Amino acid sequence: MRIFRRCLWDERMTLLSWAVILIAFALFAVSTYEQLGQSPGLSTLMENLPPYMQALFGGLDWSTAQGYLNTELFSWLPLLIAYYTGLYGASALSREVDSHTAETLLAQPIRRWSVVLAKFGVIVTGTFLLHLALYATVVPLVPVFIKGQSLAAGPNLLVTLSSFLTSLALGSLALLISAMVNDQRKATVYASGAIMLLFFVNVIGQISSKAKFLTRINPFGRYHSADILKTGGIAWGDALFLAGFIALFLAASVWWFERKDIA
Amino acid sequence: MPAIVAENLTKFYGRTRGIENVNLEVREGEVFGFLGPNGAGKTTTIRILLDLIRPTRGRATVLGLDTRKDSIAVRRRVGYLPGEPGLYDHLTGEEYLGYMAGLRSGADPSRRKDLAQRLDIDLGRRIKALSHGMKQKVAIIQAFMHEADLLILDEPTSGLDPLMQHAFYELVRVERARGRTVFMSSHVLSEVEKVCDRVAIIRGGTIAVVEDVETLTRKRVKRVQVTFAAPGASSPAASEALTATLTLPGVRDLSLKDGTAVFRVETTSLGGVVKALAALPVTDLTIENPSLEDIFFEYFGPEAAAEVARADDRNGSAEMGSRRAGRTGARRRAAGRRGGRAG
Repeated sequence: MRIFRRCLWDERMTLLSWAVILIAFALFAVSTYEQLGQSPGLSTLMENLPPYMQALFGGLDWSTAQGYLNTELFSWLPLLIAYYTGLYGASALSREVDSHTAETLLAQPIRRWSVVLAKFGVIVTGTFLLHLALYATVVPLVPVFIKGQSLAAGPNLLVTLSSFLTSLALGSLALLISAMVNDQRKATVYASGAIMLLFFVNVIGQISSKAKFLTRINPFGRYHSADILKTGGIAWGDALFLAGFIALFLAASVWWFERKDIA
Repeated sequence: MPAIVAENLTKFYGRTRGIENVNLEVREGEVFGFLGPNGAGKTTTIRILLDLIRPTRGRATVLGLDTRKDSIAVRRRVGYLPGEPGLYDHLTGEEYLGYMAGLRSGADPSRRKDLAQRLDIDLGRRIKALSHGMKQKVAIIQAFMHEADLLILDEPTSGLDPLMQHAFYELVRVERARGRTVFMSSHVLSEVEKVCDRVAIIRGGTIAVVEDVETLTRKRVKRVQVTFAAPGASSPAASEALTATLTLPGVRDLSLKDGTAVFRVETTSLGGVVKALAALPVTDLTIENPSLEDIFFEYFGPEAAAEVARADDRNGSAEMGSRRAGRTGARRRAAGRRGGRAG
């Protein structure tokens, strides 16, 4: 618990910066609605997009604040927050080894798995706080900025939860890379590369029926904000997949870090 | 019960040998020196004792506990100073030590203050603002503050100025007086001689010798360089005369060139040599303590000394610095010459 508290405290400024950036991005998206979202030309353009492209943007009505924000903000949310989870996750353990702090830390009477869990705890908390900040800003502010429109609290909460699980899955992947690679820079490059690769593989899977299977094993492929907003419910299959993905990669991180030489 | 027992401890990094069949026994309450050149396997051995790396073969016990099965219990009773201490730069010394103390259910803050006073360091400053030597002091306090039964110190005086080295030796002596065991690695012979009771010399990943420091000291030789002012000191006749004068019991490896004699002398024969030199027109005299390389030369011959020199060249040595570099080359050449003669 002490390692978790120390690491979370050390992350406070980074988390605050990310929260400010995300809120600024969200406010920018909200503020552009009246010019872009209600532009008839853009609505026509969206309607004329091929079905696979429409599917990529969720197929919601662009002229509503919900549809516009889904396209501009919510559909990108896991990728945006994965920048944070990926960067932190990738350096969480590798930085300790790379800077030789792991040697002193692990010479104390603590279990290695407790260090991995503490780092994972920071990823969970950080990801949660960023989503919370975004949700608590966007949902109440939409009726203020956009007259006559609002976002449904429940479905948007489910979208936020789904994005939280997706970001966390990508964070756990980065954590495994961090457990495997001692060099912090390399770990960051590998994790960022893996996250971007998964994102583009998912895009390919969305637009090509032959590559559709690639979305099934991909955290990005299990995030469907538009579907949640349309149905008002979460797809439990996706949620379970993401939970299983997180558990698997967390377990692999613990296993790897337990057996590696700290040198 | 021995404080440390290593049985056939072996570690290979892929195909590269770290250590092989290291057998060691450190008695409770003694200060044990672990001497060897850079890359000899000192840190690998230490890291295995702390379960930071896992042995390929063999086993070790610390304070009667298996280093693998009971690693938490071992680490609870050991204070560790790494050879390359990594500290959290964004914290102050006090915050860092508080964090480390908290991982062991606390350590008496007054002990930290006392150690900080002895080592003359302000713990309120951020670690990133500290010099290398100051960071080393923080790391030393971290190792000592837990009142551990066993202190494992890897190159503990690295970066400390002579005054602080003295303060550190004093700390070690105090711990020994309190019945604690200290296991410290070093590649500086004089340091080991100052504080250790026994010493193990590790060479190429294997323990070459375990000796009492007293025995080691008896075997040590000093390196002497004398410059003469006598006119014609570099002439063959004068050289011959000087050589005859300096051919005393305990003197060896004498070479004379351009009026400067360089030789080694056993500590017990040093008095006789000084007396002989008093009768000669000496303009400059340097007597150097033996380096690890010299000890290796004494124990294992010129090949081993050259090996130490190579290891130092590869890894660099903060303590020896550039002063050492010239001597290393000269020693290697000398070792080569002697090796050639032996062949």
